[in-house]
Amino acid sequence: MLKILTNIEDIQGAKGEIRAGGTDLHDRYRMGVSSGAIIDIHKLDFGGIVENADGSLTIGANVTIDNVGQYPKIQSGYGALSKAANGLATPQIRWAASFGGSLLQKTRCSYFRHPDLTCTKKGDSECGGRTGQHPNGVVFDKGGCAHSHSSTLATALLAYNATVRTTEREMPIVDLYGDGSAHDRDHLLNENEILTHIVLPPAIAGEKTAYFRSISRFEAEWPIVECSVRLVVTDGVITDAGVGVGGVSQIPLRLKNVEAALIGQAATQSTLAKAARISTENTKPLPQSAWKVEIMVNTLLHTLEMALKG
Amino acid sequence: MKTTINGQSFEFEPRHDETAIEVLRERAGLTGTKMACGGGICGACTIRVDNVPKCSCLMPATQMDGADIRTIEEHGLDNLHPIQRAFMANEGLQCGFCTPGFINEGIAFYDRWRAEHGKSEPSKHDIALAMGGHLCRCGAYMGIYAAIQKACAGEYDDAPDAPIHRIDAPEKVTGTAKYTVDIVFDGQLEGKILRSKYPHAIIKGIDKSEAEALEGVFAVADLMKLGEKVRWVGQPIAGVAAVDERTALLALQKIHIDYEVLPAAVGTEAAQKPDAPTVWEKEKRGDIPSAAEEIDIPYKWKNNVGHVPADLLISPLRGRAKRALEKVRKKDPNMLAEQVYINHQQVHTALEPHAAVANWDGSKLHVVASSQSVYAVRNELAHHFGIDIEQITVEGKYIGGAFGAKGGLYREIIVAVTLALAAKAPVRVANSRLEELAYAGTRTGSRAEITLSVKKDGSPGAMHFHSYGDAGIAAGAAPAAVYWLMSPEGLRKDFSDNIIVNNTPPTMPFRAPDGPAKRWAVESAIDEAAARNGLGPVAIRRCWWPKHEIKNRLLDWVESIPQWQERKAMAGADKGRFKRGIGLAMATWMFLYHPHTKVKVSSSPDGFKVECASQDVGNGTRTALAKAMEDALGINRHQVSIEIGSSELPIGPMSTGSQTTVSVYPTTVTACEKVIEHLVKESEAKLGLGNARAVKGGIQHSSGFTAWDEVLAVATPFEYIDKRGAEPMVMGLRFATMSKETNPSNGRRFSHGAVVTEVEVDTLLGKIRPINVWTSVAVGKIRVPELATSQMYGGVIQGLGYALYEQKTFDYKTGHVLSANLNDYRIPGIGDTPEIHVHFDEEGYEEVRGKGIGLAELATIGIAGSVGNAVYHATGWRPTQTPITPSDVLKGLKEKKNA
Ligand SMILES: Cc1cc2nc3c(=O)[nH]c(=O)nc-3n(C[C@H](O)[C@H](O)[C@H](O)COP(=O)(O)OP(=O)(O)OC[C@H]3O[C@@H](n4cnc5c(N)ncnc54)[C@H](O)[C@@H]3O)c2cc1C
Ligand code: SF4
Ligand code: FES
Ligand code: FES
Repeated sequence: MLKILTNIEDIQGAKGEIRAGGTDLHDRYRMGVSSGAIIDIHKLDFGGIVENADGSLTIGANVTIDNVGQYPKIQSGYGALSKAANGLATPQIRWAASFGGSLLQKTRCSYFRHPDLTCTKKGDSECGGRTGQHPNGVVFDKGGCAHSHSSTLATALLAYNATVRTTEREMPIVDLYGDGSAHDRDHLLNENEILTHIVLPPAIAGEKTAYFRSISRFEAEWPIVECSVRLVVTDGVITDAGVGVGGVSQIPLRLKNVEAALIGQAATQSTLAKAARISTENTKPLPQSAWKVEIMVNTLLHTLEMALKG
Repeated sequence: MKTTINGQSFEFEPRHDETAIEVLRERAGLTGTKMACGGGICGACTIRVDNVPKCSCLMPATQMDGADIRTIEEHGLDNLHPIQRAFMANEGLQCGFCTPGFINEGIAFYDRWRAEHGKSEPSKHDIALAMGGHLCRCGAYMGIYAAIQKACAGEYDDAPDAPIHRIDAPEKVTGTAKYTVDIVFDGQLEGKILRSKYPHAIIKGIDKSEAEALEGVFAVADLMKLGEKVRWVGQPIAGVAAVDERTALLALQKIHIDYEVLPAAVGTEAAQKPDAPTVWEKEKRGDIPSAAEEIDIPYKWKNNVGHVPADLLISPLRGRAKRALEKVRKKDPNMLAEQVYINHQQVHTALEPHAAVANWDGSKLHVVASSQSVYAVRNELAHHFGIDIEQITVEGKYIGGAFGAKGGLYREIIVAVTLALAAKAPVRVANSRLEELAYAGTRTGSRAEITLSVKKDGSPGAMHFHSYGDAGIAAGAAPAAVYWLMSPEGLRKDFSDNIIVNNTPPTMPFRAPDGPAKRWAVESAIDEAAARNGLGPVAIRRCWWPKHEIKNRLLDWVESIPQWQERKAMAGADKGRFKRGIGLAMATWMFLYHPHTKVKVSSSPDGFKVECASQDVGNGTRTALAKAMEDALGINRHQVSIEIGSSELPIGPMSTGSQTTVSVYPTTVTACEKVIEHLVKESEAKLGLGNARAVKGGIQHSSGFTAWDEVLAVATPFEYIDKRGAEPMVMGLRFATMSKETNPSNGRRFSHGAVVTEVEVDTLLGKIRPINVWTSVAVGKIRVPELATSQMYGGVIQGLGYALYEQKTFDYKTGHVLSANLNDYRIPGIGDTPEIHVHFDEEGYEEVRGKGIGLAELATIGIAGSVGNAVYHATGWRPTQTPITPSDVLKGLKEKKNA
């Protein structure tokens, strides 16, 4: 029932759910939402964080979220990622959880996390969330699951055009999640496919970055909406932008229309406000979650302002 | 696998899904590490792994392999860490259940801070970020901030004599305090409850055979009879006792229940529909559980809506009130303050769950329970199981929070006793966090329709106050009646209390039942009436209580707050995104005490001892007893030996109704007087002292001073049991019900409070940040100031949770509770703590025994009202429901703009 991998090849034929830090897995096991055999990968060494000759950065999937947040080259070159890493969950979780697990964790929908409620992600025929209460549901509805994806760091990776490597392939981070049409999936890895590395393209000097989440309390709360933003400003003009949002869609979302509305424009308050409003273009909120559209626009605006202020 | 725990090597082979907390608590017997949420949110389980704090509830046991594990047990009394001393000296704890986690995180933070900053004080912001993974339901955050700041600054590096205010703090900061969940008897089994999956159904069959056949299962007991109805999701149907928790949980899945599912009314809206199913049939209404503290409220029913037939009492002149309001409505409806105020249900969620261990020894029953009433539980057990009181002992030495949900013989105790009888072995039943959040304790929700007019001079006009309580399938909410007790003379009242029973779990008393809801509605309405009539918040309250000395003193105090003096007259005056506002609410509460309380004080060569069958839920019962001994005898409180938390002791108060200190403190003092009398005589007889009289610490006599120790060494051992007795009051009632302001004893029997809260509203993101809370209570003499201050802080923090974050939510289709983990049920964290300024007004209760009355409930009553009024003052938009969420704020501000 427990297999501790010391060699990545031993995954062949192994049965069970992969466990890295266990911070998501054990919550589900204790709640009686998940059960069964476990394949423990925490002893696998993917090489930590490696600074490549071309300026790119390769991060092993078992590096902790805290290490991602504190690593000097990530702080200086990928500010939105390090800020997101330092701003999510709680210190104990960031010390324990792996980067890989943070991208592959399961949803926090209360129906999914409740042992007695139905959810298609648990194999039930009905999605209790969609037909029931979902005031913190998605605003880019694509049918199927009505709850947002959990991963904060995925929103930052989207903003950076990161790629991920697995035991089977290498792909852009967007392809890890697809377009949201696979309703019962939190990611698109195959069974026994291990995420091994996250690769960040070479950093752009002087980027302005920010990460921010809207919540009701001071900290340690799952976001209503969260944003990771990076801006490159040259002579007062935004020349490049990356915008990732969470809490609004069943997949971590990159808002290319917002990026397009920023790039080539003067780095002014009115540009930011206009761009933030464009985020509503493709929204399709559910009646209960409609209120979140406004808070998405405002959170985005706030994050863009934070980034510009530096 | 081999690990090192507190320097000692430890070997084990983990099960596949085992976590570190199970290794520590179950295999290594180190119960100082606590489990509360089980999901990485509360931090109670925090240990240090190679000096990095980790949640042991989520840490795979495999990761202990080769690691250096440190638990709370690392630092015992003989080698206390400065952080532990700091927590004791600064009241960084109440019930103590969250404390091991905070201390471990605190030690790691202290080490990091010192390495980076040397001996200096971290800011509160630094600490809030570091402690973000910890929750304290008692609200000890102010003390925790102070403790960590001062410890980092070096104040406790070498301070063996640092003060310890709370008597049981040493056990709590070292992990030696044994809570019910920590108790393990030989051969003890784990009990689990099979709970109804449906909100309304008839139990047609219970098939236990498969469960009984499971290896490791010792007993499966029916908790309901066939043909009986379940009326809420979570209602216990059967229980299982097995060798361990996982076997018990597995067995639950193997019990097959045949339900006849009936249509259900989940929530008050569904229950009020014309075709709503009947939640309680007429003949069953006698079984409706009570959500009110010890009070049975009668009802007149119309399907699911029960009306409290007290109209003649609380609204004798209803017609006049109605006419007065209609007159104003016709003339100038703008002068009416009219709103529907709503409070959603709040959950107690003490960090120690409801838990009990039961052990039958022949016909004798021993129960350990996380209880607010060990003495009363014994009586109720005797009644419920038909056994002799003498055969039963009930114990509860350390209780990890209660807040009203652990009074009396609760379901989990009954199940433990039932299973222990069936299994012929000790059985522990402890709720999971889901059970705790969903089924085991909730504050009644409330809907209050209020229309209020005031006279030209600001004095009270008329008030329509109709309340509709949501106590789930329970009944017993009367905020209008409670306000009637305390409302000013001259107010014309059209009051009515109603309950809407529905198929959700029963609510229970929660720190000042109906108090916060009543004040949320009334203080908001008064604030609105003041604004409509061009009066200030203080001015209108002075008009309502022109002759009330205490209330006017509290209002003087309000006006002495510098920020209040700078308050802008206009609401919503701030420009820009962030708007500040400051709001006032008053509070009043009843004086409860327990006249039957008996305290035994004894003296012997071993020293002084005090005994009482009360319990310490974090309120500080031990400390109140010890402080009474300290005050009466002039000895150090830590020299007293204290025995509480057992039904074997002389009868003591329940930890409800803010009545503990007022019941035990004066009684201890008077018992001490008898003991002193005896010792004076003995010192004359046995030591030949002349002119002996007691002074602080011993006896003064013609030839000098002799300390108690010397007297005790020769004196015959002596004990005296004193009884608290009743206050001389109107008709011997436990609390006075007069409300006439001119009554000379008015204000003496009620407690009074005033709360001023300053908030900042982020109008872009809808977030409300409390910045300052000034809270004052007039309850007479404060006997243990440090602990009273802690209670005040805790009241503020729970009140802020009620006002801003906490809401029990349901899936209306299935009747299941959605806010069933501490992510989805949001209680305040350390970073949400504003600056809290506590003030005690100590005059006016001189004729009460002990010269003071209780404050624990009063401390929370006015908070939400003051927050609402502050939000109004900041934005010009008046919130009407709690919690005031970001979505409410954005919606409200938009509506205001469009209006
Ligand atoms: C209180 C709390 C608050 C939180 N707040 C946030 C937040 O704000 N934002 C956020 O993003 N997250 C948050 N989290 C979630 C946290 O980030 C995840 O639990 C964590 O990142 C998971 O990492 P892990 O290593 O512990 O994964 P595990 O629990 O070990 O695994 C998680 C999942 O990923 C799979 N998996 C893990 N590693 C691999 C791999 N290398 N290859 C293939 N599959 C793998 C596992 O099979 C499992 O299904 C919070 C968690 C808690 C407890
Ligand atoms: S909304 Fe998504 S996670 Fe929630 S119940 Fe439906 S499918 Fe499951
Ligand atoms: S019990 Fe582990 S974090 Fe709450
Ligand atoms: S002292 Fe923190 S939960 Fe009770």
